[in-house]
Amino acid sequence: MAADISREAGDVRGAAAPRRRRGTVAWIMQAASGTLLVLLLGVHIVAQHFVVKGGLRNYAQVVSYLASPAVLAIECLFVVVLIWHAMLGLRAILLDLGFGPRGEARITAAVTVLGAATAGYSFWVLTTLAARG
Amino acid sequence: MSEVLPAGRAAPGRARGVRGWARLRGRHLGGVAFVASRLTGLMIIGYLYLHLAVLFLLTRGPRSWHSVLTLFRNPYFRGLEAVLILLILVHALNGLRLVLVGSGIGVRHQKAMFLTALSASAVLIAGAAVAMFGVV
Repeated sequence: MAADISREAGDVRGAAAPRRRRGTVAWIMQAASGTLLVLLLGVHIVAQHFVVKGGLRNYAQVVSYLASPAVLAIECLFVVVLIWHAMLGLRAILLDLGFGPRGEARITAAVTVLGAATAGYSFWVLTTLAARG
Repeated sequence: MSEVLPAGRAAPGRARGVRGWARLRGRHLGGVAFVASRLTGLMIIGYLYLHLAVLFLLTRGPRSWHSVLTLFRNPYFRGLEAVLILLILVHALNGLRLVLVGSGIGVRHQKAMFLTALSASAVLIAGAAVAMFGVV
């Protein structure tokens, strides 16, 4: 149990101090993004699934919803925080497979590229739809 | 960050790696919570990419989106959506517990907090199901 909590806290045992610090920073970022996500995801789910009759927006409703600059800004923030949190989590799981320092650097680079590509695609979808409003 | 082993000492959990997730023997409730957090996280990431792929149809115009909406409004699909919301609730509430415990808050009550997170998830998904299916 103690080991599990420490792993969640990003403590990299047996590693040099800078790596341990990076693990702590990653944990703080994960915790902060996760806490913010509870709020943003709540807004997203309620706005998309619980306030519209029938549970889902039709095309015209989606376009009209995203045409509001405030909504677009909130959705973009949601995308950034969600992808940040997901990639940090994925990285933590992959690091559990037990790679060396070189492998860990490659994993960090790979999830960074994946996260950037996912964010780029998401922004493209959001702005394309917002522009049609 | 309250429980830190001395540097140089390998943590038994870490040495087990991902294969250790399936090991149930001798696992405490906190260990179950740890595995639940990671498994629900992975499933939510899988859904994220499925969701993003489906949203591409929105960019193709109203006709493409309408065909997907017909599928989404199917009761079986809505049931899967309820399961997804349950996964998100468990991940989110268990995550908040981990934030508190990792910050040194309520470490001695972490098992009770995990059970509370599960109970709250059950209550919230029941409320969400009522809203989704209109069951009263």
